[in-house]
Amino acid sequence: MSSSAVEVLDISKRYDECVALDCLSLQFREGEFVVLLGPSGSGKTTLLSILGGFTKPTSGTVRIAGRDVTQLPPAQRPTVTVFQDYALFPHMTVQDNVKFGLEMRRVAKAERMRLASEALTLVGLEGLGGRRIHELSGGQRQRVALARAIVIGPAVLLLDEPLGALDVKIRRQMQDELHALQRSLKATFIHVTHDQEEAMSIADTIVLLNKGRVEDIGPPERIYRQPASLFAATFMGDTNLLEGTIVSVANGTAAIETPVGQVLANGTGTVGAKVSLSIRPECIRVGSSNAESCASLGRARLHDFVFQGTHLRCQASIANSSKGELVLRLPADTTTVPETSVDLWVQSRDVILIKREGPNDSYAA
Amino acid sequence: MGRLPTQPLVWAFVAAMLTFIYLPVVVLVLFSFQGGDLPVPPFDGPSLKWYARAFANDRLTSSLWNSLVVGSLSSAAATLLGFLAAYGMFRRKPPAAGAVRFVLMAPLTVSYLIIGVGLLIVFNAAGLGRSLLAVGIGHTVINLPLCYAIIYSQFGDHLSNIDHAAHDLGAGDLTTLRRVIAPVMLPSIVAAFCLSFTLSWDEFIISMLLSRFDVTLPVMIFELMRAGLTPEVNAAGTIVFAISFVAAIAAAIAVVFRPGRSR
Repeated sequence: MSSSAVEVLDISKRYDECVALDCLSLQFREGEFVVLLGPSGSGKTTLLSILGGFTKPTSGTVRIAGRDVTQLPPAQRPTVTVFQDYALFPHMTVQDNVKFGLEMRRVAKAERMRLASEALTLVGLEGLGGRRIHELSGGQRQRVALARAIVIGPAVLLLDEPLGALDVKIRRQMQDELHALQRSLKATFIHVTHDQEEAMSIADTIVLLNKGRVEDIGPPERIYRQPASLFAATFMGDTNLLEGTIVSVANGTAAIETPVGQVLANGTGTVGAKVSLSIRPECIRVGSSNAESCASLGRARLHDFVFQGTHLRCQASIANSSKGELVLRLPADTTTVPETSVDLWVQSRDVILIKREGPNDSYAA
Repeated sequence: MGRLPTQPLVWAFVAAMLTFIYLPVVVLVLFSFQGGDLPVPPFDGPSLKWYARAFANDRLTSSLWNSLVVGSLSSAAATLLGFLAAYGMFRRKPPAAGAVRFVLMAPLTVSYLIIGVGLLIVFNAAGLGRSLLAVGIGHTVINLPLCYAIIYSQFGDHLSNIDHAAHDLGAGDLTTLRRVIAPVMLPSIVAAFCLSFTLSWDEFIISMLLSRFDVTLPVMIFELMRAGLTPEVNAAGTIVFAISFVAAIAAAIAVVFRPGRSR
C-alpha cells in the first residue's frame, strides 16, 4: 500500500511520569540514510529501540516494509541493530560472530562461510575472521558489529551511536565508510547521534528531536540554512540570535527592528510580530557592502580572536548597543588588527527568520 | 592519618596474624606425617604410614568418594539454579525484585543447624528419610544463594546488549543462554561451582544430620576421632584440606583469568 520502508504512526512512549516520545509520526523511504539527531533525553534512542523491537511503545504503530511490526519481537523484524557498545560475543572469533545470525537462520554451512567472508570484505576486515574480539581495535570491533548485522541482509539497519566510542579521526573515516556501505547495500539506515556534524556529513534526512518531539525534519543543508525552529537553529552549529519585531514586509523581505538596528531578512510575517533572527557566524562579513540585498549590522569592535585552523573565530561588539555581541567566523587568512572598528554586513538570504509561537526554547549547550 | 612509624612492628603484626591463621593447618599437615602413634610433639617422621592406613580403611575411602559425589552433584545443581535465577533477575527485572532477591538470599542468614533440622523434619515427613541424596539436597539449599550472588554480580550492562544482540540475530531464549550468555559468564559459573564445592566438601552439620549409613568425609573423620586421636585423622584432614585448597584456587583463577573478556 505505502512505499515507505519505515513508517511510524502516532508513537508515544511514557515512563511513569516522564514522556520519552510524544505522538511521533514519521516516514522514511527505502534506501534512505536517516539520522535521528538530538541532545540526550530527546528520545532518539528510545525511538530506535522501538523500531528495533526492544522497547514497546505506549501507543502507536510501527510499520516496516508495509507490515505492522509493533507487536513483533526483534528477531521477527526485518531490522538489525548495531549497538553503541557493539555487543560482540567476546568468546567467539570474528567469523563466528558474523556467522551467528546466519546459523540462527539455518543457512547451510558452506553458504554461511561464503556470506561471512563477503561481509567481512565489505567492511574491510578480510583475512581477520580468525581473530578473537579482544585482539581488535575499537574501529575494527565496530566493523565486526557492522558485518554481523549486514550479513543477514536486513531491510533496515539501526545504528545506535555506533561511532560514539571512536576517536575523531577514525570517526570521520567510519562516517565515509558507513555512507559508502549504505549506498552499495541500498538498505535503509537509521542512525542515532547527538553530533550534528556527524549527522550533516552522512544523512540524506535528519530528524531533529527535542523532548520527544520532532523539531525539524529534512535534508541537512535545508535544516542548517533554514531551520524550522529556534531549537533547530541553535542545535545545528553555532549561531547568533537576535530578538526583534517585524516593522515592514515587502516583496518577500521583512524588515526587523533589532537591538543592533534594522535588519532585512527573507521571509514574511505580520507587522508587529515578535521574531527571532538567526545568523550563522560565517555569514557575517567584514567591510563595506554595496549590494541591495545586504543588510548592515553597523560598526563593531572585533576582539577575542581564536585561530581554529579552517577559520578565525572572533567576537564583535556592536557600537551603540549593549546587547550587540556577535560571534564571527572570518576566513583563516584574515589580517584584521584586534580592537579595530569595522563595518559588519550580512546578506538578507543568510538571515533566518524564526517565528516565535509559544515556548519555543533554544538549545543551551 | 599518620603512617605507622615502625616498619618492623608492622611486619611482626603480619607474621603474628598469619601464624594465628595458618599454624593449626601446618600442625595438622605436619603430624599427618608422624612416625609414632600420637599426633603430638615431638615430630618423629616423616612417614606415610598413616596415609597408607587411611587409604586402607574402606569406610574412609568410601566416605571420601561420597563427599566427591555429593559435592560435585550438589554444586552442579546449585550453580545451574543460581545461574538461571541470576539470568532471570537480570533479564526480566521482575516487579518485586527486592522481595525475590530476599527469598533467594535468605538461606545464607539461617544457621546450618536450623536448615539441617528443618530438612530432616521435611524429609522424614515426606518419607525420604536420611541419605546421601538428602545431604546433597541440603548442600544445594545452602549453596544456591552463594552461587546466585556470585553469578549475578557479574551480569553487567554490557551483557544486556549482548543478550539483545543474540535475540536480534534470531536466537531464542534457550539458544541465547546456551550459546552466548553461559559461555560469556563461564568464569563466574566456574568460580561459583568451585566455591560451592569447597563448602559442601567440608560441611559437617547438615551432613551429620541428614546422612545415615553412607556418610561424607567430615562425618567419617568425626567418627574416627571418637574412636581415638591418631595421625590417621590428620592424614584424612590433610586430604580434605588439600582438595578444598585446590578448589578454592581454581575459583580464584576462574575469577581473575577471564579469557576473551573484552574490557
